[in-house]
Amino acid sequence: MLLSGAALAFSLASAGPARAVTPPNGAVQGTWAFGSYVAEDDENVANGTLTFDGDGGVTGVLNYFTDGIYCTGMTMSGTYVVNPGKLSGRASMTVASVNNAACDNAGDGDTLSMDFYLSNGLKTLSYVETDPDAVGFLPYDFDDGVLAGPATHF
Amino acid sequence: MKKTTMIASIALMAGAFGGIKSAPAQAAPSEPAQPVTYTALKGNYGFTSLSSSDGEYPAAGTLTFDGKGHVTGVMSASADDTVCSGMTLVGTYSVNPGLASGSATLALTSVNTANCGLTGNGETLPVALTIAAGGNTIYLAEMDSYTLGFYSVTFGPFGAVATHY
Repeated sequence: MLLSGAALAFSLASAGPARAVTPPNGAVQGTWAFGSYVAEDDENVANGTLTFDGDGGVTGVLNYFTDGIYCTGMTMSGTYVVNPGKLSGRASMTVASVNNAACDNAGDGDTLSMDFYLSNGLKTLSYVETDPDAVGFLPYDFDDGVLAGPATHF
Repeated sequence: MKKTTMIASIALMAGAFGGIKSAPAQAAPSEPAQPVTYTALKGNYGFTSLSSSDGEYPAAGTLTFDGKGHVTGVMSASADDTVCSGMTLVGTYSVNPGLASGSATLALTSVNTANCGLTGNGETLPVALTIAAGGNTIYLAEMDSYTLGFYSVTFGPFGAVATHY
């Protein structure tokens, strides 16, 4: 009994501070390159990068071709959340377009929201845009295109 | 040949070779070091199109990056009733600092087959590249004005994922 009590006391004394629980957002960190199927429209293609900071912030670059417009090097910035279980999440970003003859600031200030799903040891991310075809959202300015496709960790 | 003569000959040869001083090793002419903006992509990649929901414009092929800014390839593409197998691609590429993105411009040489009839011959295919998996995966998206002379007009906008061989 005394021995057990001593062992317990020792155990408690030697225990370090409680281990911080890694929030799910920390599971997604780094840069992914993505392509897009651009569902619902044959005249659109896109690719880009997404960089998750592990703490709920996401930035990216988006190259988008649509009927008669092409925007190379648009930037994105926003937030993301990884769901418990670390198998899925969602991100919402604001797009800063490029002001040149080919793009003419198309989509500037638009919202790009997406659901994403993780696989392959977090190296693969499958995403689909979840925006409506309405003013202020990317599909409205890019010929109704809805982005969806795979992304691969850098 | 008599035995003594043969031995003498061998001795002479040995002496001759023994007297040869090896010339200082000349360094092979080394190629100039290529900047990482080219070497980040090198080797063969197979690609397949990321087609739209109805899959109307599928394409697949290979791309070979030489690590020096040049890229070649072979591709097959289909658009409506046109099918072109074995078209070739030649062009240039570069990778941006950070090595996560870049660009390439490719010129298409079509094939004169019954199903293709040189469709797309001489067209240009400019693509934005995004790079992942340490350079083993590339996402390509065509970036042009969607006007005559570009791949997009004939075969639909090109979007694809390429994987290193």
